[in-house]
Amino acid sequence: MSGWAPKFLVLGGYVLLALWVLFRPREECLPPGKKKTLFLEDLRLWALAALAAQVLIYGFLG
Amino acid sequence: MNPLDWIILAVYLGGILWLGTRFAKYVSTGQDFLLAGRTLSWWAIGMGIVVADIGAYDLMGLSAGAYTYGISQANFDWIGCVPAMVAAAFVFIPYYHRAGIYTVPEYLGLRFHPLVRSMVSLLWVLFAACTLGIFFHATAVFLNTCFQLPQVLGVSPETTYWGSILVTILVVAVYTVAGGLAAITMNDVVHLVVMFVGGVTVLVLGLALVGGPAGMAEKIHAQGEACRYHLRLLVPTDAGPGHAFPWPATLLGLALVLSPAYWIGNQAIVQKCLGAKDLWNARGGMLWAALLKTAIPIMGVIPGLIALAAFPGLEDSNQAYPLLIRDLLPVGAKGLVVAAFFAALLSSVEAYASSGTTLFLKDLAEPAWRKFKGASPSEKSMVLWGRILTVLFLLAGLLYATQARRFKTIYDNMQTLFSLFQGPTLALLLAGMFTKRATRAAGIWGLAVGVTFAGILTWARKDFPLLERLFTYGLEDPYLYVAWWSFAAAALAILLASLFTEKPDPESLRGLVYGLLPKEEKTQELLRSRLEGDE
Repeated sequence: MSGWAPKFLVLGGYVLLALWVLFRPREECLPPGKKKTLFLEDLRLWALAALAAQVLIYGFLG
Repeated sequence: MNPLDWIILAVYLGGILWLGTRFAKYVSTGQDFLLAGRTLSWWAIGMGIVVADIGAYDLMGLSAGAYTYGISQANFDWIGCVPAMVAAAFVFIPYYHRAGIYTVPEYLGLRFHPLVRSMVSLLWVLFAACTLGIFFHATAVFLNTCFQLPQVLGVSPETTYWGSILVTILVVAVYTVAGGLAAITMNDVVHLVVMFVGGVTVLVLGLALVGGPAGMAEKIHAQGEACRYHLRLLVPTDAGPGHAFPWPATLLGLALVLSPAYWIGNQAIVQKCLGAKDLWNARGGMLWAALLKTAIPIMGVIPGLIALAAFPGLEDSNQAYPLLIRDLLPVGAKGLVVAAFFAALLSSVEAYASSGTTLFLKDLAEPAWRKFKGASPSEKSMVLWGRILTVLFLLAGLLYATQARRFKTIYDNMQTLFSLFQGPTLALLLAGMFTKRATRAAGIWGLAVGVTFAGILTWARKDFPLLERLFTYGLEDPYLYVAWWSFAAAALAILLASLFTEKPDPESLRGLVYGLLPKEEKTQELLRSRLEGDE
């Protein structure tokens, strides 16, 4: 099993992980004790950015 | 090197010594020394994690690996890091942080048995000492190749080899012993900035030398069959026994075992998160590090490929990076890149010396002290012993430096050591955190069986052809498969031992198993009393 299969496995894994991150509870990902939080303070966004970069890399070089 | 290069290097080394020793005045308790008083912010944690991870062996080892195996070496920084770091941030770090522990083995001791804590700590302590030896070896190779020290100083290569190691030990000892984790982490921030600047300088000048990315690819492909897969991340299984990273080994051994074990169970990494001022900063630090890690192959792997295009046929691929610096960089830039190399080296040395000290002090020495003296050691004696142990760790690294020369690349050496116990440790962490059925005895069995099997596969497989055929497939450096199979053996041992030993009391698992978050004060108290009771 070579050629497209490993790339498919890797990209599929990243997409599943991104979906899992996306559905984490929002309050769990924000700084504690702050009434107003910034969009950029949501840790899900940081994780999704890191995973998106991986999808691009393995999509091109996998 | 030109005098300007030496000035840049001297200013840099003087600066970090000054910065590191400034933190000595903030250290008055064991927690201050080992966990920076739990005051670290996400940006410092993230940068500290990356710098602790990408040591000197990465700049040299990754480029040596890329020279030998190609861009698939970058898997160690991409699929071998990012997914596990995301999982660590969302699942594992919260448990460690809320439990208020100092070390990962401390968690394993709480979940399974104090003996597991001692066994894992002992393995990590030995690993930390060996790792320091590898870093020292990397320093010596780098300095001797880059500066041609034996010729310049007119002494034997052996003298310059050990001389450069002793200077490194002296520099690290001064600020690590003085300032503890806070000094280390703040110096790491400076190290990372210097490393990025130095790394990008090598990249830009290197690409210009070989005619850009297209020119580099053309020159590599022109080297024939040996470099056929040098520009593919996922290497086919028929690449031959000389290629250490066929894609099944990359996915099973690296992505599923070595990487999670490293990012979830490596004390040098987790310690930075445990020093965070709150949970959001701990998790944010890990995710910030994941973002930074994406850029690391630019500094390590791509220069290795550039070296392959520019200097094909090197006998020792560890010289790829030093050669690029020696032959490529103009005056001033060379001093900066050498400073970046020292930054990488020092950060790794300090991280492993500090984590080894923490493990020895918290998991081995403190429980023994309590057992024989009936009380915890004073904060003053914790700081004193922390400083003494840091120096002893650095000296222990000297002993292993002699052995580190035997491996094909510095990176192989590191990963072979990792594969000996990372698989079983991961099996314990997963079984401990996600199942209520894993028993106390199962922890001991899982660890013992997994580590023994990894040892057999690493050192005795040549004597048992059946083992080689079934588990390592004739590879010369099969550490990825060793990690995978030792993980599987440990998981199987945990499963069997759990079936035949007494079920754990559900109350004893409160706060330690997924779904039972240790948020309330009552659970925190329970964890603390259990920890002291076990010892």
